[in-house]
Amino acid sequence: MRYWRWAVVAVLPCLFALGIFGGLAFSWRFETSEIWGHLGTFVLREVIVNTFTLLGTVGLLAGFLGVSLAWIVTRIEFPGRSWLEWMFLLPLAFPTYVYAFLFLSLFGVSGTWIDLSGLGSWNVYCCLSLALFPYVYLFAFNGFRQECNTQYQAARLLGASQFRIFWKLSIQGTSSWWLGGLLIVWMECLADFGAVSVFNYNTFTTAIYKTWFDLFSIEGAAQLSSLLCVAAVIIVLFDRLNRARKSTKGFKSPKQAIARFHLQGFRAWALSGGLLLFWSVSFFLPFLQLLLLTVESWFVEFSWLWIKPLGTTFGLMFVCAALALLLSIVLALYKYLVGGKLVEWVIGLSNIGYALPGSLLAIAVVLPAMYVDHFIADAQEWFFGGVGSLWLTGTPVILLLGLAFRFFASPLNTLDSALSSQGGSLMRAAQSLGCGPWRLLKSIIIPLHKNSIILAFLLVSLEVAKELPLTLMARPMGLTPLSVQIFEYTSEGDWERAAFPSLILLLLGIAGVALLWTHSKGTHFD
Amino acid sequence: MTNSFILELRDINFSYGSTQIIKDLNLSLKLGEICGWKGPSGCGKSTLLHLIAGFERPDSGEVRVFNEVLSGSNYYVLPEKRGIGFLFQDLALFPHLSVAENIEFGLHSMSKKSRRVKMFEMLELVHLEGFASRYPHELSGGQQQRIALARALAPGPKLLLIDEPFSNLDTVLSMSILEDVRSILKNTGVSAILVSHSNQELEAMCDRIVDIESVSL
Repeated sequence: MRYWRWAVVAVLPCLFALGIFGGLAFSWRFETSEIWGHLGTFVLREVIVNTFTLLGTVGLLAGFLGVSLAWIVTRIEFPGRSWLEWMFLLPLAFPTYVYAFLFLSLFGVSGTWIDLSGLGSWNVYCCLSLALFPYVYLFAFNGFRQECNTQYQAARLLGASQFRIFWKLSIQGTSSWWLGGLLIVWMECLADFGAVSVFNYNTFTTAIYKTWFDLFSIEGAAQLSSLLCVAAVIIVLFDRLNRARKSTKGFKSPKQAIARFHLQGFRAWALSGGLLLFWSVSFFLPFLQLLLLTVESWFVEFSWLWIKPLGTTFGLMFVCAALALLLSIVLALYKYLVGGKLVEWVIGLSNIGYALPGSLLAIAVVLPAMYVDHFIADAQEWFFGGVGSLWLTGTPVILLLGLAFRFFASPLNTLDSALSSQGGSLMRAAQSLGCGPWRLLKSIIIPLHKNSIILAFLLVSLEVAKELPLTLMARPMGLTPLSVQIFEYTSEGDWERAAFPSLILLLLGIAGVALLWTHSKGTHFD
Repeated sequence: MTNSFILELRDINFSYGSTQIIKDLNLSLKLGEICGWKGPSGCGKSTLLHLIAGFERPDSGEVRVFNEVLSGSNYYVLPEKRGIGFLFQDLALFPHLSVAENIEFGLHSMSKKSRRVKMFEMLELVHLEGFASRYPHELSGGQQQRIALARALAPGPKLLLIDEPFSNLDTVLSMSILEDVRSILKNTGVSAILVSHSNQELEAMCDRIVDIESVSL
């Protein structure tokens, strides 16, 4: 076998993925009819209806907001456009559970602004749509910028109306782009645990949590998760199809970008004002509220309780990002070196983690670890007598593996495209000069792709900082990062105490958005 | 008599997915010979070079160099172990390395001192003494060609594969470089395969020209 040492590492994430699916399937062998009696009567119907209503409504709202805002800033010139262009991304800096409690503290029953609690579930839909629309916005924005002026000229010469051009060329022509963003929104909705808990809106993720920690049935929770898994896998399949479609279209940087339509006078200022107002609601107002809450908490009761969680968060960020990066480098390099359908399948299965909800992954890593532990403990007792000890449960190892597995898809994609495009012939040149895999890594890949590697490292570590359900459910006792601390405070309605740790996460998030923005600008106008 | 051949391709078959690109191909190259391969785009010329260099594996058939099997039915030598030089269409000079570092890249098993000596020797061979500390982007197209050639020849391959690297140059320049390359190859005794669209290029450089389309499918 070629490069077999690399193959051994490269196959690990795939085995991990198979372990997850296997574990979930295996959980059905347990007798849980009592739990299912309860779930079937009180929970399941509500959970299914709620989850799909959430996906549908947030998809529509976020899709509409993202696509229309992206179209406006790429096609129309108005005062403040170049600022709003990136400001619309800022809501992404909020973890959704932080956004949710700020939303509630602004618009809830005891809200400081107006009471929108009469709207019921629409509060969740609006909150998540406002928090997540920037994904669609970013993808659609990049899609619209790929469009070429000559196509427009051709369409006009062929007698197409402005609306037809808008619909046929802009919307349908860039559908693979904005659909990519929309699929991320769906993944986020399906995975969301913190925000829906704040609103007491029951979905699959909350049901899983309650079955595990309130009904104390991890097997029942695993069975519920396998239903969630089906939904997640469907979204992944759509995502893969969409990516394939996007790559076959062979977009190139436009030779001649489309000129923006210059809006004049009052109408221009009205548009700026309207967009600024929308931005204020989606970002500035929650941001202001967070600052106010922080100041309040500072004066009422100053505490250093966030220091230790901050350290824990940084530790998790660093270790998981390093692990994820290592895996992605090995996989990308192995794919380049060996190639072929089988390797592509193995990698396709390995990097499914990004789409699997954190709560599902938590169960999928904890359950097997528990069995392994019990098996070892039993064996220990049988051989040596006494009470066997637990090796995995109670250590952060399973959490670290779970987090790395969840987030290593994005560095893998970055490296993969770097190695397969222009990097490909350089790598072949190096090989023809006698360069083996280690030296390829040291002399070609790392020096040439240093920036992408650093960027990937930072983005993964920021994702790790934000992640809630996986961390909450798979952590060992006593390990409390900021995200979990925030969740604990908000679930008691203690928004003031949650404010400062949230502010720290928000600042990290803003750094992430800035990185994402400069990167996406750079890659598309090269 | 097989020993007078440096390269032999026996019954090579290769397909991408369900499309067969190369079917039962047999070709050989004599020691010291410069052979030109012509044929329309997509006839498998470049794929064949990749098969010889080891970037692709044939579905069946054998690639032999100096009568040693490099790719066989269940035998395969990694590209980095084959000792075959390759001049790429886009040259693939490492942009982050200087000219000297590019040329020394394939010489890592030598001592630092002999690497230097060899590198200057190669620069002299391609008439670019004094360019050692430059970077690829500071060179003209023709100079880049020569550096890529120097880099490919530095480890002393007995076989050099050339994949249309002159297609981006204007005709006058490419003809003068071709003559240089030919004399360098003949002086160093390196056998070579040149893939090109241009008959003019092939005739100027090669001892023999093969139409790949007529032998591959």
